[in-house]
Amino acid sequence: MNVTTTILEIRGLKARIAEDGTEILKGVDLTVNAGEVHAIMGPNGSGKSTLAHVLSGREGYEVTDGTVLYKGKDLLSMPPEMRAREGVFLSFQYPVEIPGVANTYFLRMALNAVRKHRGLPEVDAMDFLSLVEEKAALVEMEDALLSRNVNEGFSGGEKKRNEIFQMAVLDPTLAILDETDSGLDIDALRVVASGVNSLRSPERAMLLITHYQRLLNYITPDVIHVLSGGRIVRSGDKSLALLLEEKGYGWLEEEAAVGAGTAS
Amino acid sequence: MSASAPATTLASALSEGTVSALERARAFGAREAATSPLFVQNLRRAGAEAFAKLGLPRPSDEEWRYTSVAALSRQLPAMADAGGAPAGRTASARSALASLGPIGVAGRSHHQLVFVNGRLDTELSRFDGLPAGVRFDALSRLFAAPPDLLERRLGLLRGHLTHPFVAMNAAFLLDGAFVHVPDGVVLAEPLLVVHVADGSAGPVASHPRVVLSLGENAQATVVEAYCGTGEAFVNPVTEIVLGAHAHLDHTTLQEESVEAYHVGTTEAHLGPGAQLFSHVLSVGGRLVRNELTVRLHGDGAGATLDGLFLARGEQHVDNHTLVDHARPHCGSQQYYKGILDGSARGAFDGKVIVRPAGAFTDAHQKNRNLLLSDTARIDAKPQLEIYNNDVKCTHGSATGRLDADALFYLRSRALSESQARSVLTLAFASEIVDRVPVAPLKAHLTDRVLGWLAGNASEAR
Ligand SMILES: Nc1ncnc2c1ncn2[C@@H]1O[C@H](COP(=O)(O)OP(=O)(O)OP(=O)(O)O)[C@@H](O)[C@H]1O
Ligand SMILES: [Mg+2]
Repeated sequence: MNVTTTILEIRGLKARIAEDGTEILKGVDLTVNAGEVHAIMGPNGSGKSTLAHVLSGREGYEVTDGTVLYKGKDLLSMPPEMRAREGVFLSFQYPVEIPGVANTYFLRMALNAVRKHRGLPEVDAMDFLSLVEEKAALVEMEDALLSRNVNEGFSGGEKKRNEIFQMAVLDPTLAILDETDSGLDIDALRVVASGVNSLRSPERAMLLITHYQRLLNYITPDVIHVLSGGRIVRSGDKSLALLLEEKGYGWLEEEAAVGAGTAS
Repeated sequence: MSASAPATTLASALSEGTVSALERARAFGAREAATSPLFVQNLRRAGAEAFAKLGLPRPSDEEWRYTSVAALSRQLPAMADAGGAPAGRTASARSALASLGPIGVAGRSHHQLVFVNGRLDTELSRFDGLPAGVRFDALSRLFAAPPDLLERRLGLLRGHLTHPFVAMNAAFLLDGAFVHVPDGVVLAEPLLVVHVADGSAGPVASHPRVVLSLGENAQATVVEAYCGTGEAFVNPVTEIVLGAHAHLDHTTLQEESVEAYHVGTTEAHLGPGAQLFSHVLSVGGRLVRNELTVRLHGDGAGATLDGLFLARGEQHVDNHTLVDHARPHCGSQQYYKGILDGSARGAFDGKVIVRPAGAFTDAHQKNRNLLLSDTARIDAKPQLEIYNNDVKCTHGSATGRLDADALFYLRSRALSESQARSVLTLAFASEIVDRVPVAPLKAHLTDRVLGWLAGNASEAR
């Protein structure tokens, strides 16, 4: 019984900046199945974060074409909170500081919103506490950070840990990690990566946006995609990352340009 | 200049509201004379005379540039005087008090004075059990045999000669609270003074007076709470005198009905080393003016002035502060935050004066406002007037909306949009709420803010 469940199916996705109409995503195709980890690499400004934002429902973008199915449902018609309740989690490239809101207070609200959606009762205080302890240990997050305001005054690395910690508590089906490795020191990278690895499961799918082969030494992806100029221009196994490390993106961009030229 | 100009000015000064208020003040004074000591009668007369000269503030009045009292002036003649309102409204007072939640009458565990439409309600009040020498009583009960100190303190700050609403308050002086904590006495338990404005049987005007006096090294926490139903005009005056090194924590909580006009004037004089922590919290009212003057008249005195105002619909809230640094080594920190929704209007008009003698002043004034709708508006005018070079003063005001990135962050973590807005708005308010010293009051305020937000959401639906 080896039925593959498709978690995410993106077809011909085009999106632009609502404000000025600049097209960023120019036809993205991507299928991610349960249990898989896909890495997305690509030069600065190629649209990786834009893709993550469009998938999580951030305002400011207009989808002009294409479809996104999440577990067979139309993802793009859902408001952001509904996507989250359905199990989509975005680890932000730049986590937001929220003064005046305590980390665990907020996380408990989030968890209860997810649980309510799943028809589960609110988590009681003791259970929540032990869940928090368990997941904080996973990313070696200090207790002090738990009671502080969400990301307020956190160091870059602490913010990223907090993202993975939240992910572990909310137990998503599709995790989109936007440069979670950036800004981490070597030890933190190892910790965060092992946190991510421990969350790998046959039911879960992950999209890892990264610039560095280094992360992929710890988290072995099933597929690596290169997003360039708003399209996925190349997909391959983990050897692609090594090739990119060596040769950069230039050759792929040239290839893509040539390909596009012959096609038209 | 045409000859008719002075006549026009006079006519507008003695507008309908002013004239009728004056006539009524005289009748009121005559009626109450028999039961009042001479110094109270004199204060009423001085107030009535000053009010006749001053009239209600006009739009041209610099101190009232953000707030028009025209609607109030039209309503005034139709409002019954506090003294004329039927007594014994205990039942409706109880329900109004219940809205104050844990700080209301429920447990009656506090020392509290409850006034309904400006009159003491003895059934709801509790005065006993305070340390020897502490006075916590109603003015009306003290008028028969007034303590010397009351005579010395009542009207001491002389606002009734210069300020139209303080003058009106003096003219209609009927009742209120007298608090005195003698030298060296530290009161652990908060004193609660509640004013219920009950307009359920027709609009009522009341003019409560609160006189607070702390001796040297005395410490106290006093909460003035204003609640009620229906249309009312509430015109309280609070006079505070702090002796050397006294500490007063003073909260004014205003959550009257959205049909209420509330013009509150508080003035505090601080002796050497005295400390005042003031919290001015406004949720209710159709037109609210919170005026707070703090005179740092003793070396090394300090004041922390916190404010939080919430307004929606057609509400108008004006916070007007003046901190007077008259002596060296005094400090003041002002932090006022406003949250406005609907078509509400808010104002923060704050001034710090550093007199020539105010060397080594440390004065800071901060105002932050949150606009939750496109139609809400705030006028902010923080001002510094400095006549000494040896000072450290800062001031600033900023107005913004809920942070779109923070809203998205919360929604991406499964919180609904209204939940996310509530969380962020409460976070904005919490900086002020968290510094309220009385725990039940803090809890009540948090509920109030959340309830207010829920109300906004249902109003918008
Ligand atoms: N709100 C916006 N307004 C204007 N331009 C935007 C906006 N958001 C993204 N862009 C532009 O879209 C392009 C893609 O940005 P995006 O953040 O998706 O790139 P990225 O691939 O994540 O880059 P990086 O590797 O640097 O994180 C960039 O040129 C960026 O400037
Ligand atoms: Mg990016």
